[in-house]
Amino acid sequence: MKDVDSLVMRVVHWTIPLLTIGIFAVDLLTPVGIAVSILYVVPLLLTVFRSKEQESLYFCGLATGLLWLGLFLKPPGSSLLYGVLNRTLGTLVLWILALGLIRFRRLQHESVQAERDLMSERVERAHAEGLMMEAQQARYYADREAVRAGVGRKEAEGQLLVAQLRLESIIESAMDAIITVDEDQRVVLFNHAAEQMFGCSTQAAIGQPLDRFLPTRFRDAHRHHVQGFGQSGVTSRKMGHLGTVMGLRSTGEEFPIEAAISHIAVEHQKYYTVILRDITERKQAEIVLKETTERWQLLMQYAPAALAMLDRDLRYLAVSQRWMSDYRLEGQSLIGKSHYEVFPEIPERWKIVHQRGLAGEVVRCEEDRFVRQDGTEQWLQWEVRPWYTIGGAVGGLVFFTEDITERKRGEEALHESQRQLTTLISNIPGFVYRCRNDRDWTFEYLSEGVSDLTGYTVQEYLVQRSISYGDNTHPGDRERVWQEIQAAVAQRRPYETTYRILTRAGEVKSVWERGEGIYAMDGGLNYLEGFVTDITERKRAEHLLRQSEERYRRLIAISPYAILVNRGDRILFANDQAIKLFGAVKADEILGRSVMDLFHPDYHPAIRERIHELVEGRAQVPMLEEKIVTLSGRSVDAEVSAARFVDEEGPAILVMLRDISERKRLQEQLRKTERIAELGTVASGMAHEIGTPMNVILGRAEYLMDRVTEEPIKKGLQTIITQVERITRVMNQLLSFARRKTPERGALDLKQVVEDSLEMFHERLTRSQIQLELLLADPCPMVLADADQMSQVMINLVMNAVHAMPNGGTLHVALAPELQMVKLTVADTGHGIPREVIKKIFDPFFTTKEFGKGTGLGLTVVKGIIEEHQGSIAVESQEGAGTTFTILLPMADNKT
Amino acid sequence: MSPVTNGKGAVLLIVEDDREMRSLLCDEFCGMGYQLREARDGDEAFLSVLQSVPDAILTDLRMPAGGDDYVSRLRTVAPQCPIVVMTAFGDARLKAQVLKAGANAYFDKPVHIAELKNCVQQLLNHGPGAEGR
Repeated sequence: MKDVDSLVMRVVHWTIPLLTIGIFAVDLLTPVGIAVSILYVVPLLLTVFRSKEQESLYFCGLATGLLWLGLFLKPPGSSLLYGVLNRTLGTLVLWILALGLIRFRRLQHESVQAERDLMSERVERAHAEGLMMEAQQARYYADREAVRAGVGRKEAEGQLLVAQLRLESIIESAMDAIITVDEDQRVVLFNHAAEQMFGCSTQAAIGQPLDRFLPTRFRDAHRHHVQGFGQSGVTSRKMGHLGTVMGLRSTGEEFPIEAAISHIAVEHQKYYTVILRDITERKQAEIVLKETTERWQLLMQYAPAALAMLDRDLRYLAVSQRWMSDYRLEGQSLIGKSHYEVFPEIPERWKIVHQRGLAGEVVRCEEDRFVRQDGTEQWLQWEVRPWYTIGGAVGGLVFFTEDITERKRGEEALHESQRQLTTLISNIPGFVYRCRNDRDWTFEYLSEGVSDLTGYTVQEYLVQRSISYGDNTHPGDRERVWQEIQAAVAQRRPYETTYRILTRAGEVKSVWERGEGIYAMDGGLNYLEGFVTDITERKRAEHLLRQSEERYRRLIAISPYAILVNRGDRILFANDQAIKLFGAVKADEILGRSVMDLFHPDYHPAIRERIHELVEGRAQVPMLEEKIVTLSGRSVDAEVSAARFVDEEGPAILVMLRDISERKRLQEQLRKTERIAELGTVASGMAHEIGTPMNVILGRAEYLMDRVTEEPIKKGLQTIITQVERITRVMNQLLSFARRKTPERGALDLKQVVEDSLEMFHERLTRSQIQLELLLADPCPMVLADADQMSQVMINLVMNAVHAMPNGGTLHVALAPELQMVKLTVADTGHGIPREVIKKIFDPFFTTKEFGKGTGLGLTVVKGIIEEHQGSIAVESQEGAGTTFTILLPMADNKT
Repeated sequence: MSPVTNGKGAVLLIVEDDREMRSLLCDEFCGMGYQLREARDGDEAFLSVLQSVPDAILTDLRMPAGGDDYVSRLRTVAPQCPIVVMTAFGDARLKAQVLKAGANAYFDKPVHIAELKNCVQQLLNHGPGAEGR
């Protein structure tokens, strides 16, 4: 091949001028119409083989000249215009071709430069080694030719020439520095690349020792090394086998080189040829590559994303730590394992995705569910992307996945919570809002509840803005609400207010609102947020409650019962009746006291038991008669019932009391009356039985009295008679009390009765030296009374008075009207009645008189009669000073 | 029936269930010259009057076959005979009933025998019309 090339070079050298001259001659000879001039293209193309690219240009210029010269020299003909056009075209073609050739050659030159790229290092090395081989071969030939020179000089010279040419072109065009030294290590060959590498021209390098291109510290070692190599049988060592050595540029800069060396002996002279390559850039590239790889691995491993790189068979090449943790694969080694082996649960649809990825497609999915073999569920966002080899083929897949389970759950939770909030907002009785702080309360958000409240729809407020909440507010409350909210906002506290609104239907509703200002980062008020609810019903209920309360308050106030409320053994409330019952003036005198203070100690155990029952949950305890103690210490009979109730402050006891002392008194009186009536019955029965025996005693005594004369016997008999008479008196008193008939009441002049009765006593009074003092109103109103009974009353009272004044005194009898009654007073100046006795004087058979003088029934009878007449009798007495009986009797109507 | 003066020989029927009281009355009136007949209860008195009407009847009221209707029955068989009734602690109502039933006099026991004697004597002397106190 090389022979052919050099032959062509030589043939071209002289073919171009010959062809040019030939074409010019033909052009002259041919008529104008024939475009022979285009044949200049042939020699032009041949210039490609010339070494200098400018030669095509030179030739093109020459050919253009000849082309137009040919036209001038030729005899002009009819087709001159055609000829001109023809040649113009030809010239154009020539120049385009020439320029094209130049461009082609330049591109070729640049592509040679480009081959020095680092990525094609292996090719380059092979090329360099090839050059080396070629050079060696060429030298071999050259050497052999030289050796053979003597034998066949002519032939040898020819071959030598070819070899030299080839060698020179190789050496010049080699990208590695090629330096040949002789046995003395002086430079004999220094190519262009070496010039550039060491910054030293060939002229300057030739004849210089090689040491000059080595850093001083390597020089000796290198020299020995080269000599050692020369003495060895090895003729060449490949690039890189020597390791990296350092070169020295003329500027003094050291740089790493790789070297290949070969040696050859020509005519006993040894020559060493070194091929050197500057590997500064490669070294740097290697470092860069290493760093890049490390960085890439670091990035891959620690990327905060699940990444996996797989080859075409979906075997793992690399995974990020996140991948391991996301899929709970910690501790396993995935590299080299099949993706499907690691995840046997991978669904079929994903396998299809992998196939699509391997076909060059990028597939992604925002949300996908992945059910793991153990049943757990993962939500993933993923992307499957093919990666390409340098050759451009799909090398495998890269998976980017993100476990969005948490996010998904969060979104679901958020969604659920939003749904709940929406449900909540739509179900609350009222509405929530966000509004501007203006007088219209311009809404920015509003819940549906507003239409139930105001009758206007959310659209009317927010979209059409045909109504504002400011308009809805009752004119009477508008300013107040504004002031309240402004005050709250100014103090940055929530506001709470109650006001009225006007609904679409013209209704007035009461609403309650609570809200607060929402402030921006800079502290300015953004808007207000809050809640409004209808309290019309509540207001109405409150009103009703107040009414009801008022009703019950009145009820309690007018209740005939005394009412107390007791909680925790402290009285909380007492109504007026209770205040009165306990003899207090103000409620404060009772409130706060223990309930026990107000009850008689005898009843404390029973009351405690009742309170205990109520506290234990019994609703109420029955009415019971107890005794209370008033503030002044007086005991009063009371009827007490109690009920338990519970309010917000806890259980309490409601106590109801009624003063029953009057009833008790009446009962007692009735009881006494009944006893007396019983006594009457007994006395009556007894009277029948003893009447006859008494008569026998009396009769016999009188019988004997008539027949005896002895005084002592007569005296004894008289005693018997007197005693029987006494018994008879008692029995008659008793019987008159027991048998008293229903009084025949009518209008009675009491004055007459008094005077008649006193008349009966006239003698007696005189005898006892008793002064009579009469003070009878005249005229005195009539009383409604029975004459006989009134007489009996008078006799009894006067009799008592006389007995009270055995040593004389004054009997004072008065009669006077008093209100609708007539008052009869009978007073004496006798010995009086002792205090402890005075209560008993109306009791039957109670007497202070000496034995035989009183029956003990007189005042009982008097009291009975007066009470039967709806009157009253009272006694006042002072021991040693006298006794006064006061009787009040109802007046008779004027008609009767 | 002829009027009897000073009680001598007048027949007096004493009706009394109590033996002592009857004995006392007998002793007292016997001493005054009355002719006495005795009865122990109402029925005996009634039978006695049926046999022969006495000049006067002195009777208790509360005794077997006694009472105010007993006085009425006696009055039917002895329309003119003075009847003096005595009863233990009677009352105004009973007295009124007895007098209405035909008794000539009424006394509550215990009564002074002297009063009784006076009353009986008066009745015998002056005929019916006298009343007890």
